[in-house]
Amino acid sequence: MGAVAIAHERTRWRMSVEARALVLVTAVLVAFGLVVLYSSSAVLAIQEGHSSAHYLVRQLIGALAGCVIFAVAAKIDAEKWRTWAWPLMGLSILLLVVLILPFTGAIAPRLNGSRRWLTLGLTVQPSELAKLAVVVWTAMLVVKKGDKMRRLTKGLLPFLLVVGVLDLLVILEPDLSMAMTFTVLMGIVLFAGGVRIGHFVVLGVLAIPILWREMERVQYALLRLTSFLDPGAAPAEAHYQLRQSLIAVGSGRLFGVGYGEGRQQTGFLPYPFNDFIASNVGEEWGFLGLVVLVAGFTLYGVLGFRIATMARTKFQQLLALGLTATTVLTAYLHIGVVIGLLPTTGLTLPFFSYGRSNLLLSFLITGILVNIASRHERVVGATASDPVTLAHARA
Amino acid sequence: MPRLTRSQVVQGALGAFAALLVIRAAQVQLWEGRAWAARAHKQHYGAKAIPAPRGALLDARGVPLAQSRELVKLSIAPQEVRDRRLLGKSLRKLGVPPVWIARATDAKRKWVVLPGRYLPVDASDVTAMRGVYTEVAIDRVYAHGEAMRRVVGRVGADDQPIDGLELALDSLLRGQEGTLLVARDARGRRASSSGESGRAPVEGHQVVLTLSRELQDIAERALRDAVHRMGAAGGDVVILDPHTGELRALASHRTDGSFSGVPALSVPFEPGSTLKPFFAAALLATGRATPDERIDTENGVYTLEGRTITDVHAEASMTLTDVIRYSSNIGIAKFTSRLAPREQYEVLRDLGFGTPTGVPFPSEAGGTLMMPDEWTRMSPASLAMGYEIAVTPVQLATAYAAIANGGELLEPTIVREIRDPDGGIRFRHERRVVRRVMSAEIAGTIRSMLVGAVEEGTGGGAGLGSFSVAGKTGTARVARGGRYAASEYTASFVGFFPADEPQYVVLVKIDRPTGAYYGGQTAAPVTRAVLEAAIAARDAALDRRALASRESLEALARAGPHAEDLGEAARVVEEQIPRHVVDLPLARTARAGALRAEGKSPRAVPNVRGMQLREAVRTLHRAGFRVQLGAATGAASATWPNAGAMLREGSLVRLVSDR
Repeated sequence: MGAVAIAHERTRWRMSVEARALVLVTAVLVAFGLVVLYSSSAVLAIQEGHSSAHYLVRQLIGALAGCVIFAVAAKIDAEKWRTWAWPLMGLSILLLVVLILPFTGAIAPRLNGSRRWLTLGLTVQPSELAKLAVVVWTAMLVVKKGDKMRRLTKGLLPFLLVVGVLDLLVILEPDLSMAMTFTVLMGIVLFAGGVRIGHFVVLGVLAIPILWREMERVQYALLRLTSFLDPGAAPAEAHYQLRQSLIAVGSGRLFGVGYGEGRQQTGFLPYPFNDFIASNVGEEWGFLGLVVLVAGFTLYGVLGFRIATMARTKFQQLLALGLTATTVLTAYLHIGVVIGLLPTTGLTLPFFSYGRSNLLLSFLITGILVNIASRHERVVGATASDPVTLAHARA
Repeated sequence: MPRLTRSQVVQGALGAFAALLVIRAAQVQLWEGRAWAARAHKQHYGAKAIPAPRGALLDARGVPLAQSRELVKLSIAPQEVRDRRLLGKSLRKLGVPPVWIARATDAKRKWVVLPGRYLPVDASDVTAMRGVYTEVAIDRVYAHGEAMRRVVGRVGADDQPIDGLELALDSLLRGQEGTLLVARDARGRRASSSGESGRAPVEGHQVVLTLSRELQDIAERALRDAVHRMGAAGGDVVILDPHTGELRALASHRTDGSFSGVPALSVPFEPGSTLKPFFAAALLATGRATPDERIDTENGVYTLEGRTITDVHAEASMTLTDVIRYSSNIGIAKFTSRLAPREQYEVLRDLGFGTPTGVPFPSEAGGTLMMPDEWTRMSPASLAMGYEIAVTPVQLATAYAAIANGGELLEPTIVREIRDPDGGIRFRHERRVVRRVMSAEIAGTIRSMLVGAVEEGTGGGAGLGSFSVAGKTGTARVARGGRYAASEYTASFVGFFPADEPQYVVLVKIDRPTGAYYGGQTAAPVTRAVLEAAIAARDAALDRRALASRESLEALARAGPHAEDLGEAARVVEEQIPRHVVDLPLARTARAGALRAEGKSPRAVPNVRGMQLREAVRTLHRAGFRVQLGAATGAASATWPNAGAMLREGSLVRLVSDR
């Protein structure tokens, strides 16, 4: 029996119900996202002299590439990311350094006041890769340090140093909201990894003055934050963005003005198809549209957290948790900004906002989650599975 | 695993975040939704004013004197245009300058506003294209004729009236602006029309004047010729219907062009001898003189109150009739002394001198009439000769109308009718008697005296042969710096025609003619020229039937013995004469009714715009009209009357084509 079985033996990843559900939720979000992207970008595309589907086609190409990345990531044992953590972090730091160097203007041009993109034939946003690096690397180090995590200097300090370097690099772009995202993601993974609550309090107290000084230095980030604290006294630009977003969302009311009927994306809203794309959902699909949007990401989150609980290893558990938080928290923050719950910052909405770096990252995250939620099986014969899963997958 | 509880904390925090998002969304979209939607509407749409066409000003026969027409202004968004080469071609056909065509077809430009204004028909090719936006502009078109233009007035570029009737009747002529909701983009630029309708513009009222364009042209031409021939400084002509008070023509001319508005209404002058008949009427009415009463006229030279008065026609004595006929200054001064200053003042006051007549026109002057307590001892004689008083030509013509119509002073008018845009009559002038200034009998007596003045006396130059003209000349020295200048005169003639059943009162005034300065040699011939032209013109609003029957009767009377029964002859003549009915421009509905009453159903002129001529002609023929072609080739661009006008079967429609 054994000999026969070995002759036909092969292995495969068997997706759990959660993994299948996550794929379905992701597919729905991607489809909705592409639909919304078309409506929010068509007019501007025409105004820029392109066809109305200019941005849609590009995003669609990104989505197809994303599917490939997703499929590959779903077939790679998630445990491998543990060994890739340092290279990933190193690559991220390297790319971010290239962005802020004074003589790299040719490949890292300043767009809308900051240098966030590398143009190497394809345009990539290194900070999206860095988000993944923060989560993977933090999860890896938490698992590696084990009980040492309970000490401040040997436990917490290395995290602060490395992520602090990343933060500093993106602040220099400048992209303050990305720095805060890094810190929050690290914090979530650390928190879930068992860092003392007291250390978090110290961390927070330390962070405030540093953050405050940064804000003062980075004029443009300051504009965004103060415009939230006191809209009446806000500098015109930041105040304008928030007001236009509220006009879009508010005028949608319960059922929305109808798909393609929104007018705020025709030049009133800044960045209608990335930083403010949820405004378009609010305007054209109304309150119901926003509720569906929030519900979609909440479902993604619930599935992600369930996947974390059923993860094969502690690293994968922290990884699943961090990655889920990356997608869900970014989405919530984005929606919070467009409805005026949070200060106006430049955050993308995963699967919706135009930007292929972010789209590919979101697909990659989903792929990793699916892998964590899958079991590695030995297949006997054509279809039958060996009820005993492979030993190494259980490690 | 205890750590999972921490994961649940993270989950719980995210769940709370999600709940906050939904609550905040509900607050913005459900509670405050209405307010945000209102703000959105406010910034997405702008109310654009659509100019309303001003009402037309028509002459008494319905000929447009001032008319508004819609033109389009073109704006082009080159990036939205599908076929820019075709657009360029169409713009070239429209006559757009090449520089602007280049701009309009430059894909790098976002918005190009073409400077010109075009007829909607001409621009229809272009306006049908995507990326071409139109805006209505209204253009005011005026009839030609200097004097008519001055009466009608002007409208400035900003649609504000400047002078004339356009100013006086602005509140009626001005329409009500409409509004159009247009979508705006973030730069406040107009993006497109929004499909949402605003308020439609309401056209202004149509004003039908009593003036006849034809008579106005005649009067103007005659006046201009006369002023030129006599080397005069200028002149005025007023033609008035003595039975209704309707002004038929108001022409003015000044060689140096130094006037604005209508001097016949706004510039008073010292009338001179033309006032004499009114004092004669007052003397007859009070029984202080009879037409045949003779008075010593001192052989033409008489000194009164230290001032020497002379007569041109010197006689030892004259009857009152002759005093008027030969315009004796001595005679009228002596006769008028029989009236107390107060009585003399009241004669003039009752005739309306010193007070504006109430013609709706900006800057109408009232003239000057002093109260008796301001008079000097010389004033009664001066006033008798038409000095120390200033009247406007319209005032004087109105006073003469009272003689012509049997003694009633009428309120003169320049507006016959005002119609709202739907054709409803909002105002129609009705004959308004201000007061009776003399009995019909005395008016008749004065009329016959004035016939004499034309046939044998000073006004001989106005005589017309077969039609009798009654009238009075006046020659007044021009006052300069408080003294009467030695050689500057105002020559005038006021007459009515025909003398026994007057249809027109004609006033002609020539300022400072050189050479023959007496009214009889200057103003009276102008009157004759005006009347001759008016009789010759088909459309001069004369009651031709009355004229013609009279002429025929006179001819029959001259034929002598064969015409025993004049009554019968009159009947025969009357049957032969086609009734000339002055065609009032009735409201469309009223006109349709009137035409239906005549048995032929009126029909609408079909719209043939854009058709090839051959097809347009066929269409018009099929609709039952006769066609007159304006050009031989091209596509039909317009008809006159316009498409939609109701015309009787067989009416002539003029077809205009573009080249």
